[in-house]
Amino acid sequence: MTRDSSSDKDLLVADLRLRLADAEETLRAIRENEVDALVMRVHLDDEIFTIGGDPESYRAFMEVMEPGAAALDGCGRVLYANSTLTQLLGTSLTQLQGELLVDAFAADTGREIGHLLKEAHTTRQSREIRLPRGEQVDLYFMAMASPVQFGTTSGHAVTFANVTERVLNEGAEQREHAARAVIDSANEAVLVCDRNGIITHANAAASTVYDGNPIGQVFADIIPLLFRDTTGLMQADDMIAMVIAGTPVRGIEATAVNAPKVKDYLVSAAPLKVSGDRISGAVVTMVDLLTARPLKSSKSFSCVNSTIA
Amino acid sequence: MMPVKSPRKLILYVAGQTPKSLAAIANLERICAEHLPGQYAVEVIDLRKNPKLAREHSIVAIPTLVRELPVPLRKLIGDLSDTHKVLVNLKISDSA
Repeated sequence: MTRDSSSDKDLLVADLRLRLADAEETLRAIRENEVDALVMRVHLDDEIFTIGGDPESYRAFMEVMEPGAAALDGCGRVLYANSTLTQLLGTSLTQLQGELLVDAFAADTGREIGHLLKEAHTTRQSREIRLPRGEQVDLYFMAMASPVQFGTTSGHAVTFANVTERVLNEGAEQREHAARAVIDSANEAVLVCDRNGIITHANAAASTVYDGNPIGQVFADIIPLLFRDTTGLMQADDMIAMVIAGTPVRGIEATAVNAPKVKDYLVSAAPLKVSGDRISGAVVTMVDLLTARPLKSSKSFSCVNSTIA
Repeated sequence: MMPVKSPRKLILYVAGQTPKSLAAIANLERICAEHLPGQYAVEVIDLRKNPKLAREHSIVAIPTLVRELPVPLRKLIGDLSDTHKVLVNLKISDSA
């Protein structure tokens, strides 16, 4: 055997060893679930086959979902996010893919989502999260995470359902309960009117100014007021209209001519703002003048509206 | 005389946006940034767009990372989540 033929044989053996190692490594990777696509030769052309199904099918489904939705791998990296979620986060799918979902949120919110993913290791879990938006109203979402298998990859499906309206309504309801409790516990007569001057709430003490059920009646009709020391231009309906226009009234002495017992009152009224800046009515407080007088200064009345004072 | 740096090139073969392809891209970006800053030119080839390119390096399973340069050529199959294994296969200490 010549030196050249020996050298060729060595090269051949080295090449075969390399090919064998390659083949073994490929088989090991497939067996150990480290790949999710294979190249196959079909009619002399190479084609790519995805193991465990084409991701396009679940992506199409996620895209038509109304809530924001993301598919995450076992590390929490984004495999796919629908356009609702990318718009919510102010980013694009390209920017989001391969990144940790928790990093796409503000620190506190991201931590909440991290906890949720840990909790959802084996079963579906949910928690409410808040998305601060600076000067805009915060958004609230019900985030739900479920363990799921995407082809050969274990991960999570996460959805974000917008519950902002519900949370704000609950807040408004709680505030209304609190306001009612305050009104009910007040010793003086408190009546709440809507923008049309119709009484919507009244506490027990309101019976001192009107003998009957005032709810649903026009304030100025059932509680006509005569204001003292004024130009005479102002009546109860003028006062309600002025307050609804945004000008509060404080401590004006008035006579409630139809009141069953005490007729002289110190009347205050303030605009009612249930949410935001919009005035949705007026809150009128009427204190028995005899009770209020020791507290009042020597001035017979005052009003924050200069046109009345 | 300054030592001449040999060219270094990594090619990552992926199949569109399969979970392991996305993971491999993210892991390779992280490993290059943390352990090999500026040391390798990285090319990502999407075989879904051009399956014929699989022949150049006899790619069968995806994702696969190929260290094309420096020679000898090395292959690493999988999503590159094992950083230590990636660094060992790239033989960082030998080629540094």
